[in-house]
Amino acid sequence: MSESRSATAFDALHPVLARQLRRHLRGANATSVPPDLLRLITAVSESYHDADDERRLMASTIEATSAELVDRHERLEISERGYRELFESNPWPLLVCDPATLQLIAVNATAVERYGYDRDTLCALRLDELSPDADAAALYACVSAVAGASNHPSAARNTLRTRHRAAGGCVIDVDLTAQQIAYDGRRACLVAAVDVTDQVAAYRAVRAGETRLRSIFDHAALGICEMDVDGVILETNPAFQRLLGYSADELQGRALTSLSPSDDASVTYSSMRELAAGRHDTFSVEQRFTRQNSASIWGSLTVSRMDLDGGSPRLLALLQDVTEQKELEAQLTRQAFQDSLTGLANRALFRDRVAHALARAARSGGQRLAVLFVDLDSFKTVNDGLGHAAGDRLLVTVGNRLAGSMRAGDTVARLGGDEFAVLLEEVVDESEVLDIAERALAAIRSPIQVGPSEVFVGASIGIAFGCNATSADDLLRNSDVAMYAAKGDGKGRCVVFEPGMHERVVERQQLEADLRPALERGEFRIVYQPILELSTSRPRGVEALLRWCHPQRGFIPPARFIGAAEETGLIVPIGRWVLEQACLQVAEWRGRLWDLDENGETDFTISVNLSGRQLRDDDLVDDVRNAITRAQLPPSMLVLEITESVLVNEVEMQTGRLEMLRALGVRLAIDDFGTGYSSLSYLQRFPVAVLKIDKSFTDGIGRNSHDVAIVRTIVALAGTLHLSAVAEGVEAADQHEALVEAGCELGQGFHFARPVEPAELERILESWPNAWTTTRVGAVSAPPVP
Amino acid sequence: MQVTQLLWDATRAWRPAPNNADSTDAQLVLLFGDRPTLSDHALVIDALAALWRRYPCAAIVCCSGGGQISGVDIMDDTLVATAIQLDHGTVIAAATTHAPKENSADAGARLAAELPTDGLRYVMVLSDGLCVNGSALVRGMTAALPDSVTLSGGLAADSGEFAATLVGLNEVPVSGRIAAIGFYGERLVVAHGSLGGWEMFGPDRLVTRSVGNVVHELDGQPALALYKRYLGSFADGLPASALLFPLCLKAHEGAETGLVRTVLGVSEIENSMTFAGDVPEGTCVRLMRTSREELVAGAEGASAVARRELGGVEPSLVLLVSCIGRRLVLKHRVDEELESAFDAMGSVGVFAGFYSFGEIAPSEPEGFSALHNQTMTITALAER
Repeated sequence: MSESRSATAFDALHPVLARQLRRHLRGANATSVPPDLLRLITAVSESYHDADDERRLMASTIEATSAELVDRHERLEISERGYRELFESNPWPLLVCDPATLQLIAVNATAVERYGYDRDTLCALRLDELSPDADAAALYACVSAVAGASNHPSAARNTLRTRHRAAGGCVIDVDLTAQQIAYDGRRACLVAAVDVTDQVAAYRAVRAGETRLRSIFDHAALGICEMDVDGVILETNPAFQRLLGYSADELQGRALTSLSPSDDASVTYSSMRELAAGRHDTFSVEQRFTRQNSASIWGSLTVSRMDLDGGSPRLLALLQDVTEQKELEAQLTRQAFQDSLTGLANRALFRDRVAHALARAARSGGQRLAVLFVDLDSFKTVNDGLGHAAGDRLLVTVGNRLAGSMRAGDTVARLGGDEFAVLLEEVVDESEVLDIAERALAAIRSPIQVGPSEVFVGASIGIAFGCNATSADDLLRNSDVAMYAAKGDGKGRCVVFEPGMHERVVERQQLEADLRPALERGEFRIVYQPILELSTSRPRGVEALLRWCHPQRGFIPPARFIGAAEETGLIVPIGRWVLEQACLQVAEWRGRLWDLDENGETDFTISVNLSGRQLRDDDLVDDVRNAITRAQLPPSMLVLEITESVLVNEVEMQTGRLEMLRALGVRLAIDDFGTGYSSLSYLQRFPVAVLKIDKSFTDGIGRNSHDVAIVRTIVALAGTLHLSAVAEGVEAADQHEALVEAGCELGQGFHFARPVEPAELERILESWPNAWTTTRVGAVSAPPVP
Repeated sequence: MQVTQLLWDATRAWRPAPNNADSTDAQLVLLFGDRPTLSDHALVIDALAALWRRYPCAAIVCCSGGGQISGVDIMDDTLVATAIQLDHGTVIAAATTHAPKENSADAGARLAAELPTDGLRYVMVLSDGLCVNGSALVRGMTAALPDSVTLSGGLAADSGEFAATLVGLNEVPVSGRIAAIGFYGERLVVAHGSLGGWEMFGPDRLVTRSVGNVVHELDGQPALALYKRYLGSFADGLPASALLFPLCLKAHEGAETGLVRTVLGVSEIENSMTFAGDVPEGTCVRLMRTSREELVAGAEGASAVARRELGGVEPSLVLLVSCIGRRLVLKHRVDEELESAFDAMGSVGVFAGFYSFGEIAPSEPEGFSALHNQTMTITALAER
């Protein structure tokens, strides 16, 4: 080591060492010290320095450490105070208890305040001492579960709704949360008790309200259904379920519209969509619903929208069963438009249909349409004779037959009484309508079974076409007039309306009006037509025929007024008069025009026509007896002519009357024989003496083998039954010859003589050869007297 | 087993140290020197040539350190060569270069894979100390080596600076090299002891922000500020003075020991401290302190442990890898730790080693090797 170095080393000596050297090695300096010793001294000095450094370092370490620990401690204290505050000032009452004994260890200020004890007293209690007795068990369970739990956080917490009692005895509802914690170095239970008395009360009130509403919902008689905004059923009440026959589960989740037939549902569906979109608040509809058993009911449905706070709106449906009302409505509608007896349309509906058909025709260029007005002939006979029940059955049958004669699109109606009407649309031409009308006539004319009896009615049909009418009433009136005309023309036929018919009807009505006083005014005349023996042309009798000489209108043929007379019942007094006059007249002739045989008898007869109406008259028998008595006429000279159809209709009811007439001794002739439906038994039972072969067969006899056959048959029949056969309407010689050949005994007609006044008849009879020759020669030519 | 130690002197020749017997059949030469000297290319080549003339069969492993151990002395500014000859075993040396951004574990595994495992007893690893992640390196090597193999060694160091560290195998040493020497032989005895002498003090702290081996925050506060508080006036000596307070990485809060991590550097800008080893976020750490007496006692203790493990066998080679940090704390008394270690070893054995940037040694609790700091690690080798 160099001198400079040693000098430096000495200068750098640690002060303590330097002092020590100075004390113990006086006078030592860098040069006086041997090098070895100098190195030692240097090393020692370095050690002293090192020691100082270490001390300094230690000091700063200790200082820093202390500072840190103090700082940490302070922070911990602040933190602790903070956490303490969280506990004490917590707005909820907090209680810490021993989980095993429930002894309270710590409580916060809120608990002290809430429970009303002072802190020391409260801390001395056990947790269960805060509970009313009834609630203690639940409290134990709650805390025990927490105490026994593992360290898993969620398992170490439990909640309980229970009651606590404060110091003053006041009981409150609390929500307890018990939580396992470590407190003061041990396991404890932290209990937070939230006063929920108000909530519980509010909850109960809400529950009560809910229960009430629920009860209303469940017990309502009206069906109630709650749906979401798409119409899917969420909930239904019992009434709704009963209405549709489904259970609540079966209904839930279904769309309301799925419970209706698709036609009804589609309208409802779009209404519900509108409702859901807020375009209106409610809608009502009546539609059909299909029950679970597939039965169909009508329901009145009202749907409203319920806007709730938050969330999408709900739809509320109310449903009522209106099936009965609907039935009633339908019934009323039917009644309004249906004839209750026959089931056909009634007048109101018919009129409406006609109006519409006319309107359609007008729009589409006037397609042809026609109205048939059908009035039954002789309905009154049946109705009065067989009773109203039979009359009703008859009407029903006629209605069916009429409807059956029509095409599918035609409307058949009963206007009332015995009047029917038919609307024919889209007819091609008039002939088609006539065909249809004839068909109808034929159908109605067929025998109708009414109970044990068979009856016959005919009909008179008036036809009017749409082109002649401007309105439905017009059209109906036209057809009515046409029908009237048909009646007037002899019934049992169709007549087409012609302009001008009205006048005729008016005229006819006028006629009827004039008919009434005609008898009194002596406007009637009786004319007589002779009936001859065809083979010999010998007169064998006369037929009395009524004529009317109207003061203004002149001569009116019977065809024009007989119908009216019958309908009005005037035929009775008129007929009575005819009977009297005819009997008187014949009685007067008797003495002059023909001889009597040795018995004072003659085979000459007087035929007087009798109408059905007369036959129905109670006084008929008396009238006949009076007439023959007054005229002192042998009853066998009087022949009462009744048309075959009338007889057939009346025979049932008038059996008694006919028997009385037989008892009187008068005889019956069946007029227009061959055109009706007489039964052979009638011919036997009643005093039928004569069969008058209908004019139509006489007409055809010259040309038509069919008619010849019929005539022969009738003649044969008459012969077998010992009746006379008279051919009516003989108008030509060939007919005469043919009739003779057919074996027909008697005949009358223009060929021989027209119906004439008495004076004229006398003259005719007187002028005929063999006119008055009686059969005195021998009995051979005497006709057998039935 | 025969061990000879040579010193490179000013004449650029190897001089046998006075207490060594010579042997020409050495299989391995450990060449430790300071970084500046080992950077002298020509010098190193001369030294290597001279060594090979003496020991033609030897593998020569170079490693730079912050002070080279020869006996109970520390040599600076020179080279210390230790020649080892195993009588009943063999030595296989391997080296690998650590790629710039390589995962050090991969490098370690790669290196370890080069040593055949059959008969392998002990691996000495000497690694670059600046660009290698020592913890990862050790993990990688440990995973690749059989459990029965002892692994020890260290990270090469610079002398008081952190400029560069050099490692080489049969070559001029360079940065980024890692060398591993496998010792084979049934009769090989391997004993180890390591002790620090550092005491934990103060409160537990949590590493709240760190990236790898850079710690930014402890308990949410800047790490550097904490160190300055504790250093007081010694803060002026940062970063070196940070060596006075290494961190103890505890396995868990209650652990009483842990890994020591020494400070390699500081960043005033980032208020962060760089440690010689990973300090993961969330690790529980405590500051450590020591005194010179305690450090010396630590060295003594490590030696005693190793001696006990020898079980009466006299050691031939005693490898000491100590820490730069210890030297900076011990200062001129650093030779005291060597002396006390030598005494505790029974005053026998050839002492060789260096002051490193990180010690690799078995970690007490687990037995696996780990990276240590501020620790005296002593590996004693002998043949029965």
